[in-house]
Amino acid sequence: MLKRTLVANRGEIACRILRACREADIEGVAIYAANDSGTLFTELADMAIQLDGEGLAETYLNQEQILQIAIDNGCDSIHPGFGFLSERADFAQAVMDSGLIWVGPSPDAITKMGDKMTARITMKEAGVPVIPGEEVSGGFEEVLEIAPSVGYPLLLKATAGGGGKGMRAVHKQEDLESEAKAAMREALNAFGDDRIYVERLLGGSRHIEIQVLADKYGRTIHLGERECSIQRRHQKVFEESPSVALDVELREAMGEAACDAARAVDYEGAGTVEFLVTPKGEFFFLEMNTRIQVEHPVTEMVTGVDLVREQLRIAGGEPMSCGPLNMRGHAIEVRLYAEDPSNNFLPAIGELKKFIAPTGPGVRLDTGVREGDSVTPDYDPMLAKLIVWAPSREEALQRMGRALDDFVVLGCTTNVRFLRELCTNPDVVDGWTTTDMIDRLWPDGWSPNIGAQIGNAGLLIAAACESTNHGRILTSSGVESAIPSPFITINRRFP
Amino acid sequence: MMEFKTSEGRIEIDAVRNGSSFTYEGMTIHTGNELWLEIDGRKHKAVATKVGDIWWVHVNGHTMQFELIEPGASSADDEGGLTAPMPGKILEVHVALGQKVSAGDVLMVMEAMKMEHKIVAGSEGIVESIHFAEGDQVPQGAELLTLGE
Amino acid sequence: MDRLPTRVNRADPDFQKHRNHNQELIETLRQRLDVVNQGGGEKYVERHRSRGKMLARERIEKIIDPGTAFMELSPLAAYDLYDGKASSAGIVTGVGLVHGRECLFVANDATVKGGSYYPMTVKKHIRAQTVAHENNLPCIYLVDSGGAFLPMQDEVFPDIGHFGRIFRNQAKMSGDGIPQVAAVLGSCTAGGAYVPAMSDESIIVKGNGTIFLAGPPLVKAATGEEVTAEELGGADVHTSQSGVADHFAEDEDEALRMVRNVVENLGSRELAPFERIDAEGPFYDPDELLGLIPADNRTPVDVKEIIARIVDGSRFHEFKSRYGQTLVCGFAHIHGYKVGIVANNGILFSESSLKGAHFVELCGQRGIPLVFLQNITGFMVGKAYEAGGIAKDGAKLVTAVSCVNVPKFTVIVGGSHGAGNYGMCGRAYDPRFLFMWPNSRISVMGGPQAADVLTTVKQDQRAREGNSPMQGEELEAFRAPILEKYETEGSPYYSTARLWDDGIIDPRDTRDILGLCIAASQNAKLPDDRFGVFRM
Repeated sequence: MLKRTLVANRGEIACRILRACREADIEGVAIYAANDSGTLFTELADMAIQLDGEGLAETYLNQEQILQIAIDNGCDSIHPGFGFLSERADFAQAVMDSGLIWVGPSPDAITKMGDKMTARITMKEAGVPVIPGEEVSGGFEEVLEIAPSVGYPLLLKATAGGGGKGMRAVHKQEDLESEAKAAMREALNAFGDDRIYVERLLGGSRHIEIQVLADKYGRTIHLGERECSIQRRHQKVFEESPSVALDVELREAMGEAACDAARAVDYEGAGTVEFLVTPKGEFFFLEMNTRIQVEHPVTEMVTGVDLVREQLRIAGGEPMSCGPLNMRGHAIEVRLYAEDPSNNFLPAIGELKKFIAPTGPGVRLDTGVREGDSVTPDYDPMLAKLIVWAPSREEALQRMGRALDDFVVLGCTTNVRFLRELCTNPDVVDGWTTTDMIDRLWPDGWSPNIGAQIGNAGLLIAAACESTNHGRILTSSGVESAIPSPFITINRRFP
Repeated sequence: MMEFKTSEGRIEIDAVRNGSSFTYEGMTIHTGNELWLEIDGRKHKAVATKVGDIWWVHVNGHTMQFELIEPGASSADDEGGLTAPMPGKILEVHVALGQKVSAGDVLMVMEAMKMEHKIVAGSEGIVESIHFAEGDQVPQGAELLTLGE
Repeated sequence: MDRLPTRVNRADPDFQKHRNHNQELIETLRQRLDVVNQGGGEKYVERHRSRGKMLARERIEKIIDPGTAFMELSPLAAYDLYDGKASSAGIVTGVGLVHGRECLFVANDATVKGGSYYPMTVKKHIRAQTVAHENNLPCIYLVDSGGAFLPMQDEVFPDIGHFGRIFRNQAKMSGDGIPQVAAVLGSCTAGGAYVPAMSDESIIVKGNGTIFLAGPPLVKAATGEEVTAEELGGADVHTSQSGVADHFAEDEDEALRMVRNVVENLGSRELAPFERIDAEGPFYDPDELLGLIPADNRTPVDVKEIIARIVDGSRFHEFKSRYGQTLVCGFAHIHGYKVGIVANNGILFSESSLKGAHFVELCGQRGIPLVFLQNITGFMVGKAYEAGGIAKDGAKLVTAVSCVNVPKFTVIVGGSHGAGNYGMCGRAYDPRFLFMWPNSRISVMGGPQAADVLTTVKQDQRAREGNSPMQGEELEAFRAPILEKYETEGSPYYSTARLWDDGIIDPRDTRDILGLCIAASQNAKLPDDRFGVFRM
């Protein structure tokens, strides 16, 4: 049993973990940077300690400081959440070396899964399917030799590279020679190294991930899949479970592969194995995320498993409490970002003058903000995750649409309307969700589809509100004012 | 009569007032502590709040912004002006006063949300004024420089 | 309301130059404030603490509502006076919130010469009482003082504005229903004994707190009686036997908590009916003020640019914008309070004076507080203007400003010279509060003008006596001391040391400070308007 856990994170996920701690009767300790002072997660903790310094490196990424706070405050464990230090094997190691419990997998598992090549080799050895491909260092002849086993279409990329240099798609064998030579030349020029990597090009694939859970008692299970194909700027915005692309057999096959992957690194706790699934139903290991995922709630909604609670339980040395997999109904999560979807999804800032979240059956909101908070450029612009559950996918989409209609955020531009329109988009309704979907549907960028009537209604409301001073408190009476004295609103010493 | 600015330009509105209700284009809004919009006999809850000069309105799942145009206000007209797309810091100023620029020339580079944004001339012109210097913090919508004919 | 336009160009090299200059002025202000915040110096602070006592400002912090503002008044009083030893004149005064109610604090600083009263200490104490009286603010006296500073007894004892006035004010204020609360946290000797004695309710702390007309040494000298301070006038004696104090506090912490309890039970209050909407910050960044304010008061600055960085939403509804344009008048909001603003935009002419008088009357009629932004070298001079009756038009402005019933607040944002100081609600015209910017200057006229006037007088005298006029080095030698005198005496620090104002402020804080001042002023009901005869 854990007794006092330091949550080395902020915002929404810190709230999620601190609430789970409260439910498990574990004392939650929050750490926060000065510019997070007074935010929700600091209030949900039994103890909140301010970090010294400015900027991420000095605060939420400052391993020594965080560890010292944990030690000084008698914590027995650290939960890293996601992002920040969650996949830093060195931090996990340092935590364990200090005699504390790391709520997550072993540093060794993090390291093995953190390096793409090591992960690929480990998975291959464990019999988990990986994307066919091979490194070529012996010139074009070797490429020619390998190509048939990889299969077409294929992708050539510089081993040393990145940033698209030396990357070429080859759709048929006739083009192989010229493309491969060009790729090697580019690689040599750009990186001084002509080794290239030949890989199967998996177009039109879906991004599907399997949630796994493993405890110290030899039990490793999977909790079904999440489909996360709808992405913008390579970040997920819409996630669901189950996936329309999976049937029971494929789910079992992928689930088993995911468990094999976890077992191969002696995994402990909650983790996610990502796969690419081709239209033909082949699936290939992409990577494993050795932490809790942003989109974990959809799994929780369909399986009834409290993943964070299980993480705490497993880290505390108890066996996991889940029974056999039992997926029920359909869950969808959307990520509400402070961003302008009609301006290339650029981040937005502002004060959340109004923040009225939807409620009702099957509606869950995971957030770290509340009305009156300011959205600053200091951190990730994700404001909230809205999750719905309904008996069927169709009803879940309808429920999400209704919930998003009810979601009022004023004072800061968000993607609420964009998400709302996704819910009725024919491709989404039909389940034709792929990673390139947003670019495919809106090649020239998205803009809201506001009808003339609603536009006029908005104008009328603005004019009526301006005429009546709506929301502005006006007072001229001699009694105590409803507007607080400047002595209250200005907390300063003058001169 | 009132005038607002939206992303689509200026709009004027002349709503008919009846006590705390206002009617326009067959729609009625009832004001008070809560806002109710009536369209074709159906009622919709609306939420509105003013931030600076901008009324933010939420109705029927849509969020809209209407910037009130104040008569005589300086910010009313930004034709020929180049404004900051978001709050940030000016990194580089590439032009000088009186310099002739062509459409597409990079005039300034600003940093916001950890990204650099180039402020590009939309048309040919002469730099009439430069409102910020390197290192300055600018609010969203601030006029950065003015181009003349 | 219309938003003011701006022509400020941040890229202008002058903007940066001004900014640097004003930053330096603010830095100087900060440094000087830091010095006085250390009270009487390390040694005395240490001794003070060793007795279980808190510093004056710490005591106030303990009493005010947590998380609220405190506006200290004249922290640089006595600056450079009394060999620079009397930090803040040995007394901390200001306005803060206790149980949601604005209260006036007067706290002796015993680390400065035992909290004894220098002439400026008396003046500051009485000024604080005036603030309380005019604004109907409950007074909280945190007493820790040995009484009058004896070496200067002739400047603190008998006159109308001297020590005695403090107790007379307490009686009069109590009579006007303004609560008087005292906490005796240290010695409270001789005249000082009357502060708790004259209070409506008083608290005394065990050990450190003593009240007596004469201390043990004086008693021994007078009657031969030997007695300890505690026996003579300690907390026990006064709360159980003499009845001089009402509440017995075990320690200082408890005494300060008791002050809060006393204020909690002061009963209800009635606020002046000021119009107010919820507050909104200025549209233009107040930080730009520093780039606007010229390094030299002779350089003109468009006061509307200043207004735009002080008022809510930078919105300003100007009155008579086409008439008498050297005086800008108009309505705006500050922290949501509707205010009338009167601001100089050049020298005062007949028209500008008439406009100002008209506008001041308007505000009186409508119950709208007035804010004066002073930057004035004076009224226009010359034959044509005298013949045009500028004196009687100026008098109308002075009459209106003197008699208007609404609270007035003055900020000197540039020069304050000549009768301009009067027409623009200088200290003598009872603004509820008056503050100065670090760049401001205050004197009957500018230094060069004074030198010119005196030179003319001298040259005339020499001519009468048949001497040749002064020239070259001789002339310079004559002018130099005059210029130097005006340079010194025109400084805001010279002013603030002598309590001609309520403090020097960072220009960027102007809006916040005015908001606090208006909130404080709202505690007093508005008297009826009674204007004097306007000379027509």
